[in-house]
Amino acid sequence: MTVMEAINKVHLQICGISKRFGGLQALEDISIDIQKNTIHGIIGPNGAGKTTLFNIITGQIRPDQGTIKLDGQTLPYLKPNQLVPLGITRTFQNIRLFKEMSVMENVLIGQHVHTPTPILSIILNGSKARYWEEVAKNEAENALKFVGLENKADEMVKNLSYGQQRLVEFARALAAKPKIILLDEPAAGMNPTEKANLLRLVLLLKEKGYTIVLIEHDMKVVMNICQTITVLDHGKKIAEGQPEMIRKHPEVIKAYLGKGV
Amino acid sequence: MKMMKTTFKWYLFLVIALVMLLTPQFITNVYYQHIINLVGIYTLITIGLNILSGYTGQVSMGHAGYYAIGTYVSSLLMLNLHMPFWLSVLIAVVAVAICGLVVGIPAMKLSGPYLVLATVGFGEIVRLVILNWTPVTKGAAGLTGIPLPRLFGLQITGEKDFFYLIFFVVLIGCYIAQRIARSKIGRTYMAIREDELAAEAMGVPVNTYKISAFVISAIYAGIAGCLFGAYSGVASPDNFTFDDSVGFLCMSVVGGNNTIIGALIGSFVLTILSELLRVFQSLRLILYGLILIMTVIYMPKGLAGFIEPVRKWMAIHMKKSTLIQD
Repeated sequence: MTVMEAINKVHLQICGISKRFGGLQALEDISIDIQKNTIHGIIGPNGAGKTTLFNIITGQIRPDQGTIKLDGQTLPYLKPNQLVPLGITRTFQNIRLFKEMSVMENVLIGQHVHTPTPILSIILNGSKARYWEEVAKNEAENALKFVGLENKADEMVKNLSYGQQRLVEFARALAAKPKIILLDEPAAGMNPTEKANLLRLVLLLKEKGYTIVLIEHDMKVVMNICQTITVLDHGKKIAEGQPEMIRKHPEVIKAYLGKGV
Repeated sequence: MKMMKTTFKWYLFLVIALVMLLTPQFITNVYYQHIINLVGIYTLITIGLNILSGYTGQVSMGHAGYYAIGTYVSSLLMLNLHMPFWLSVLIAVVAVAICGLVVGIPAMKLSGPYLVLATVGFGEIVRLVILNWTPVTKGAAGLTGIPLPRLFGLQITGEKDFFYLIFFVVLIGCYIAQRIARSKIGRTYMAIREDELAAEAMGVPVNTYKISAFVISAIYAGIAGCLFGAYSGVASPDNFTFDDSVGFLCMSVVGGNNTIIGALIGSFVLTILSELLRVFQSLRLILYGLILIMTVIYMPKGLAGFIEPVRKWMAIHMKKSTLIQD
């Protein structure tokens, strides 16, 4: 593979991102290349800055320094809702669903940017409004089918189990038709069966051509499914590479287990 | 089955519409007719409030301000420029929408109690401007002799005529609000209410939607104001106080602020209640407060919250009867 080809395959490029919260250097000069159609793991001890990095990529926080490039083009500072049409969506570490709404309605919100809002037609109950509502519903149903929750569509989200709520969030992110999905600890709080199911879904998405960035604490999960892993500690990138390499990396072992005597 | 359900709904709708249309024939007492008309006007404001606070989660305690602007703009245009009613309403709607925009833009940055304070401030500003801009608004003396509206060659006079006018406007208002609430727009409003951050992360332009909710609810209050001015013939700053704003919010909460029908129920119940309690002038607000607290604690979905269980019970009941028939 030539160098050019390798560069072409980089989907999301994080270049020299720094962020300081008061006296805390949350991220320091982080650069990560995320390859197209891979599962990229981001790991690190608590407080390493993983979620901050996600917040910066998705536009929730503005970085002090550094840029983000999508397919080689530098993105200006955009708000989260402007990044969704470009193909970047995320899930949250602590589930953030619309609790008083049904599963279907939650997933339909994911469709927001992909269907127009014909105001006049909505008021007159015209065919245009109904057509787009139907289109959005179909998409949402597909997303729900993918995660296996199609029979829960009319259920209130707050009545679902924790694992199911995670799947709804997953489906909602999928309904936004992203190219890159950022999953922030998707398996947290799931039992082994649910976890296995989630892993199957993530792998399936990769096969379908999505690029997935994953924050996860469960090493078994990360080592099994990620092609590349980036390790953060105290806001710095301490290692990057394939799982086998990360497993043996002395810096990583030090960060997780502390310094040897 | 679905066909049956929709035809049933239509029958229900027709029956209710017919009853409503015949109401002024049964209720000939002018005082009662007056109260029903007030219910209609308040319903419009409450619908707007429900879209804003119930759906979008942005509480406003300054809706008397929009109501006042609607009344004064349309009345002054009719009084001074002798404009026809419909044109004055149209201009008033534009004016009120601009005011909604003006409050809505800072409201993007505010939430919770801060937003409430900002809206209270807006309501008071409007009231004070009306009170002190004497050359135009006649100050505390208020406007008198606001002409009766003429629509499509029909001169509207008396409680009965106004009943039909207000009924018609409320019907359209309910219909449009229901359409908005049930559509993508309503769903997006609800998402903003539930979790702003998540909604934004899913691609919703939160600020645009918040402002639109402000504008819509301001328009509803403004139209109610136009009707009030023409109906009562007089208007003074005393009609648009902070107490009134609180009253509208009470109607919204008591009726159930996350449904459109809740607006109708809330304004109906509280308007009649406040008329009944007219004797205890000063005790009225205490009772209002008590009702509000009780509602929030014991029926967070308001009176409209009782509709769903009843409907479910009826659905089960109907299913049973069809099974027996089979």
